[in-house]
Amino acid sequence: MKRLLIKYLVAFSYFLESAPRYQRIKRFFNDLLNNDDYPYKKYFDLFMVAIILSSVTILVIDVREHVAAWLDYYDLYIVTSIFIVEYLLRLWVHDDMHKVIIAEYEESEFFEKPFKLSKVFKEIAAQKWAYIISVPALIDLVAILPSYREIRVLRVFVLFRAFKMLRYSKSLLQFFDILRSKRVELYTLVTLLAFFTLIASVMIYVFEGNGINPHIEGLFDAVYWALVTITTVGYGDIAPVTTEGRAVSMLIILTGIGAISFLTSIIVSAFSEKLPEIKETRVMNQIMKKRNLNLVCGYGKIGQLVSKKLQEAGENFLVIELDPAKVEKAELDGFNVLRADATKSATLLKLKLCDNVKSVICVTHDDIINVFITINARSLCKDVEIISRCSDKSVAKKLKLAGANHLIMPEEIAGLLGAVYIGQPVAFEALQAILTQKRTARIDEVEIKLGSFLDGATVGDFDFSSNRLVLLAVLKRLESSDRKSHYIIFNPAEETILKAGDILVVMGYSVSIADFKGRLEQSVRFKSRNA
Amino acid sequence: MLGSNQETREIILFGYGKLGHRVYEMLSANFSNIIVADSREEAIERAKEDGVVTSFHIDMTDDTALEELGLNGKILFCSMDDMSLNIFLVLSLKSISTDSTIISVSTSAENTRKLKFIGADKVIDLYESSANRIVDIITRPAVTRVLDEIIYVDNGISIEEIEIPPNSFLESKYVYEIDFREYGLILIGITDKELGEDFIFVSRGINHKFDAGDILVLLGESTALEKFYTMLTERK
Repeated sequence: MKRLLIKYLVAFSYFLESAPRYQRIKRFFNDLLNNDDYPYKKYFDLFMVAIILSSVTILVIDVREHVAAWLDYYDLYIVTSIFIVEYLLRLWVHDDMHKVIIAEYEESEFFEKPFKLSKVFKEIAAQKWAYIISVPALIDLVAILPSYREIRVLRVFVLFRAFKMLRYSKSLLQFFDILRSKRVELYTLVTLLAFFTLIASVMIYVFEGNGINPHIEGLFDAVYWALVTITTVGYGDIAPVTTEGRAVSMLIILTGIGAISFLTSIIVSAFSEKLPEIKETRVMNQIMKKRNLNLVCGYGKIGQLVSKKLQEAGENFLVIELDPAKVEKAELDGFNVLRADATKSATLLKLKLCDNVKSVICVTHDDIINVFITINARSLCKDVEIISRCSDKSVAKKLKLAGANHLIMPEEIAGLLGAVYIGQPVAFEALQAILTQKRTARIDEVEIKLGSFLDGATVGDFDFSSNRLVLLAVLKRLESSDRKSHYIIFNPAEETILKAGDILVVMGYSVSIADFKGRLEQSVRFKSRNA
Repeated sequence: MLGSNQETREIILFGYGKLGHRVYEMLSANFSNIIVADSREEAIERAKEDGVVTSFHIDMTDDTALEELGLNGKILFCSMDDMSLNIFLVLSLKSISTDSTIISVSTSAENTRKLKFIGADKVIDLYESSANRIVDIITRPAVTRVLDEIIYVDNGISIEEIEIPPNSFLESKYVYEIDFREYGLILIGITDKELGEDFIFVSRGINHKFDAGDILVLLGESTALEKFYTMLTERK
């Protein structure tokens, strides 16, 4: 009989292990309950907070006034059921029972010893028990209790429904994490306070508990007085009347002030220690919502200028810098900044390099670090655009090998600009104006969208010059190639055929370009409506 | 520049350190008449190794030594690694010579402001231009590629400025009368002498009249540009 049970148990465990549907369902619930990156967790959290708030409101109103019966039923059955279901789900997803069974079975097969059911149950129970006695699980459990209205004192546990909200708020959870990091100090302090409270209460009870002080009728009153005094709260409803009692008072008042300042300092230091982490979490939360992120690695001179210009261009970007002074500068400048090492793959993986990042800009002052960042980024993702700064020619070759798409060599750019200026001062000013966009004339790119009026038309079909535009070039997509690679046709002939995906490079004043883009945009909508 | 003798002007490159060395490389690709001056022996040695024909070892703070170089009418390129020295040099050059073109590199907005204040004709901000390029690569990749092809890549496509010679066929014609496409060129803009030195983009849509002395900025293949220039000088 037992052999048969074990056989079915093991078979069932293997079945669960290999059942994709079961795994999927379990993963879904685990994501919903525990995974902060899961997009739908947000809605689940909001739903739970709403449920909790409604329940707390009903219970609070119920203290003095009578609430409608249906509300009572809602609270009693629906809310409680949701809580119970949630509790059971959390218990379920906490760990995998079948894995324990499989592990034990495989071990017993391997060592050729009998499969022990008791050992398996013990282990499963231990795992579940570990969850049950964890603080959040206990709060969950206690929060279910207020439904037993018959026991009045359980109404206090309505508070735990509010505590339950902790689960759904990251910042609240963080607060407890911070306190937890100082648990040794807090534990010491609490022990100390308990000790002093005990001594003080016993002493006052000995001195005044024998009827001298009418307010101290028992040991409970003495403890109450000691605690009120030691925490410097001092209601004054119980005051010592004997000299001995006052002497005890004086001592524990001083001790109390010491203890409270100790407590304050613990909490303050915990917060200041954790502040960078809190900031980082906040930055990460903000930045992870954005797609097409540009990573500016290094906040030196170029990094600062690039950040400023990217912001002006409306691009999403994140500064990554190790030097605390530069991190602070970036923060003061109002940019999102992460204090991390961009040469470490953990940093880039955390930022989801392949999914979220558009470009990695390596502009630290050190060529070698730029090479390392480039290697790091390229080894993790083959598509991301990497722009790297370097000042040495020999490094330039290495950067190309490491996989940088673009090299920026400030000295070379300066030399080149100088050469262009000497040779062609007017053309240089024109290019400079275009490049810096300081004047209103600029060069812009316009992609031909599918179904717009230029899709399938020729260059001659649109009169660029009467629209105050100059068509400089067309970038045509290479056939059967990826999105990024194009070949350039300068000064395209009138009969050049344009297709969706081609990019026009036009020069003109902002208004003309905006007008042209608008017209293209509109024609797309018009066509799609008629299609 | 086609139609002028500017390329033949002598260029004096002050400073042959890390920065000056790279500037020389870029300049020497386009111009032949370059003189290098530096106050450090080892820099001069390096210049000689790199094949610089004429180099002077002079004290940059000594005005008479600078004067002896003969600055007038030349292009003076200041690319000293030490920015404070660079600024001081520009100031000295400005006080000595009256009709030279002073170009200076700069490494910060603050230095750029100072250099412009003391009268440098052109200031090239190393980091600003690098940052601009990085941002352009990200925000306008197609534009950057097109400009790269024009400026960096040697594929025959370039932007040239052409001064209209007297008695050319363009004289007294208006912008819209001439179809530059016929010549395989794109007119970017002109400097109309009647209206001053300012460069006017053609896309502004004003119908200018061409006169001798106006400067056209044209984009096109070098052969087309040269052909067009020959036509300008020959035909009427």
